[in-house]
Amino acid sequence: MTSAVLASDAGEVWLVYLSCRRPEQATVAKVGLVEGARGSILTLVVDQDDSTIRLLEPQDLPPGELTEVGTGHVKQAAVTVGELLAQAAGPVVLAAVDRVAQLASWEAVKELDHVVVASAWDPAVRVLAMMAAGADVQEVLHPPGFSVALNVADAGIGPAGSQTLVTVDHGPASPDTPWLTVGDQALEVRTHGMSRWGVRAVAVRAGRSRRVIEDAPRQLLLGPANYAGQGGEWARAVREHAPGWTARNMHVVTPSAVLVFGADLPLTSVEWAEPGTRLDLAVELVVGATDIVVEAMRPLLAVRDGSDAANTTDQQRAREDVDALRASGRNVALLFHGSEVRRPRENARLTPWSPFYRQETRALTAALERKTEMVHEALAGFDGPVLVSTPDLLDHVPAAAWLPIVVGPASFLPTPPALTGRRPIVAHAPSSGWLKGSEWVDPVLQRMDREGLLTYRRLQNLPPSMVPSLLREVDVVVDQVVLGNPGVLAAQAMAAGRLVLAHLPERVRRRFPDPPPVVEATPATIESVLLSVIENPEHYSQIAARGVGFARKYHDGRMSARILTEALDS
Amino acid sequence: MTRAEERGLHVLYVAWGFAPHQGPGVYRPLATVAELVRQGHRVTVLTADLATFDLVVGGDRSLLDDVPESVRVVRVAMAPRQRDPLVNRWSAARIADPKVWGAAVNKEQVQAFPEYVYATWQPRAEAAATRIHELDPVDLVIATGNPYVDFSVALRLHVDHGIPYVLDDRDSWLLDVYTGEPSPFAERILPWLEFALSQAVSMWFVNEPIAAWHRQCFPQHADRIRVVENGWDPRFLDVGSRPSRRDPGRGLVYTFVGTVNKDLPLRLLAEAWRLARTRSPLLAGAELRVVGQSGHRDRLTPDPVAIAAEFAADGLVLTGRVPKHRIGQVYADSDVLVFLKEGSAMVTSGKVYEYVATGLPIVSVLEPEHDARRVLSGYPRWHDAVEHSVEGLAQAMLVALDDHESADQEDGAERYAAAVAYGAARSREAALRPALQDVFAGLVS
Repeated sequence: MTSAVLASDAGEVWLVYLSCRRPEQATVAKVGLVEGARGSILTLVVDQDDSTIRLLEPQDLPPGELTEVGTGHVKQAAVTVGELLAQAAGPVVLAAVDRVAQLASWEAVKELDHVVVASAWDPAVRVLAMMAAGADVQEVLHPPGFSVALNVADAGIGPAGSQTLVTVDHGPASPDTPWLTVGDQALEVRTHGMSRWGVRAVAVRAGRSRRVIEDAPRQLLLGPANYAGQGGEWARAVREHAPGWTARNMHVVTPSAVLVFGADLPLTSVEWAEPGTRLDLAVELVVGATDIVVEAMRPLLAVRDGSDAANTTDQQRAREDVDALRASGRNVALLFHGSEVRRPRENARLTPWSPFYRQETRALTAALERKTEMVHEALAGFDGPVLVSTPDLLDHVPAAAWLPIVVGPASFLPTPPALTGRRPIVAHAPSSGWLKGSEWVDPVLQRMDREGLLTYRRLQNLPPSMVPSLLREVDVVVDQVVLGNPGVLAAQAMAAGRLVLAHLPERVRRRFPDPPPVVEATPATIESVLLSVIENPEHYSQIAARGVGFARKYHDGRMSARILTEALDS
Repeated sequence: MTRAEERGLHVLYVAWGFAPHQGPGVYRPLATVAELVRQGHRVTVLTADLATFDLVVGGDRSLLDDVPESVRVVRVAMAPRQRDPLVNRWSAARIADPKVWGAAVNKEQVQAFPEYVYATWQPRAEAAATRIHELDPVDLVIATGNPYVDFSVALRLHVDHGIPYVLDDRDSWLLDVYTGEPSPFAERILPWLEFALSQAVSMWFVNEPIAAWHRQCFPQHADRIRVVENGWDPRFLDVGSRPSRRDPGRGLVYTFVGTVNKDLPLRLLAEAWRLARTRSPLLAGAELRVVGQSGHRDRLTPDPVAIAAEFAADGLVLTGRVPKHRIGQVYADSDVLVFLKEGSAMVTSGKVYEYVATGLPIVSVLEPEHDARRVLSGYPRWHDAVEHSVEGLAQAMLVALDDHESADQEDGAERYAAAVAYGAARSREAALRPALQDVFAGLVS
């Protein structure tokens, strides 16, 4: 024992001010003023041998300047701090107010469940207040997760919160048991394979966990991809157009995502990776779901990976989720958006303008080949409903059904007809330029702009909420000229009555029951098509106007709600 | 009869920093919500969760008492990330190098929305707002910044559901109002703000200089830019409670109320106070009270502590933060107020409205262009230092002393009455009421 300090008594909260410096008078005074806990000021001191670290109270500090405790002493300091804290019979709130104190404390408390370490004095006092109000250490460290439904319900809006039973390590289980088993109305957690942190996080959720129960016989959950906000739009379409159904979507996105799309439950991949968060997600949205649509072969829960580092794009984990959820009696469908399932080789076979296998896209193509192969491997043997968001994907998933993209009501707001002004405004807004043929589109449009033939608006990373408004200001949208798919932007542009130029091979066009009012354009024809548009604005204005009715028929959500619910009923 | 006339509209008020947030930006939202209720509307507030205020940024739960009972408050958890004070939760990368980790987090957070720290609240707040609207349709959104992530919620409900909205900018999203320089994110904010303005019912700013700057920047939307000034809060300041006569034997009290930060010239104030005391026996037993949060998150920085110790014998007292509910007593215990704040042509300061509500003599040292001069200029008991110096401030303190001492005389009583009347017209309600009435008149017409 390298400290002369006595740890706290049982039950008593011990509030410790930890630093490497001699405390100032003001510090002594404020620690002395604390009520509801035993307060201590401890200073990390290194002895003359430069290796023995001691924790001393102010009155025990040697006179004169203290030998500096540096980051080189952290390991020993952590041992010293850990030994002292381990003796505390009650909870400890420790204010680690400098770098060495923080490093040592972080290391020391990894194996201690009764210590909260704050990075400064004020938050330590706040933690003390929370504990005085009834919270214990684990409740402070692992607060309930973000739940939209409960947040709203707790304000007295909509249905009130109810409870779901969560058991943790209840009864015997084999090592092969998933860490999370979704039952009919309950959840079972096994902590094998979890970090100590993860175990604590799920343990505080044991018992009755709160959630809001939706009042509908069929409850659909979509997730976690929400590419282009479509998961949210499909959920909304089902809520609005499918009697007897309700639907929610969840979205797991990297913290550095450039675009934020609407979702009923948005999570970052960092948050989602924590088992406590995934358990919250299961409580809020999965346990009550009768029907589940797994998007892009990405895991919803990763029921066989209870680590803190579950991968949100792991296809195998997704398949394990699918099998587990089906085994629980839920209807499960798979849904693919595009790049995750579109095999580059097949795309290159179907269109000469394919962006794949070109000198400059070799690495990107290879990466997509690997990714799509893994998706197809994980898909193998699945005999439930499969959906794709654009008709071209039927070449890649032949057994699938087409689930049309949905565009929101903002895209359908009345707009003056396209191509009635003097000089057309042409927009190109690729989310991923190499898949849209931007290297062909940009030079042509830039030159035509310079020549005064049109006004080119190159849009990049446009916040989704601004898209409908900006589309209303343009005449023509060049969607993509190489890939052969009708994307979300094309649907939005049609809804707004804008003229859409895109490369849609004949076999894709034929899959629409009505001919899509999309003017064919490829890298070879984009310039001539635009010249034709400029020369014949009335003709193309009529085509643009037809887009509104087309989008209303296929993309306003009614058809999608019907197809989606029928697929799950099948 | 319209729906609004029957039972009031359902207003969603978006303020990340609502009560119990204890920052100075909380009082305008509290007053706005109270005024909405007074005008007969149903109000739902969307704000951050209690843990954010209890643990991360600090809060004052007594402020919850100022939320009208009928108001529903939806609290949406804020991921604290770089503000998380609990070291147990820090990742290995963070503990290894907090600066590098913090820089990486900052960078990724602003990818989708140009605002540090708060951008992460955007998807969550939007999800909650969408659910609120689904369960109880919203008629109007009022969003107040900063933080400006609040504005994104208004945009979401407008784009998805056509809900009209008002933006209340208590600072400036685009501009550093102290320096007049554009915000570091100005280039990215510009399209957001232009889009927001293009769709808004109106956008409010707290003073004419800021509003004028924005009108010049967005002439196409100038008609919807409006000034809604700050004001003092009657709920926190009962001007009638001030005793008319001081207890005999008790020394005079000069009071400064405001944040004690590096921009406050505390030494100048202390030295002027010491000098003034040497020049008037009436100040022999007097105190100069400095009332307010000291430094960041109430951590006393060394300088104020040292100055307080150095001038303790002169009656300088640093009290620390006083909860808003007790601020009325602070003013009631004062004889003279000292106004000494950094500012600019675009910064008025919220405190100046409280000061003029008291009817007390006010001493000030201000930059020539400080917008607080506009509020003080009509106040009959304003005593501005003729120069920004110890001597100048000490002189003003003595002039204020004369003003105080003449209070019992006939002209003193008149001056007090005139001062109180001047202040009475500058309450928050006086500014908010007509602004809100105009908004609703436009909605139901």
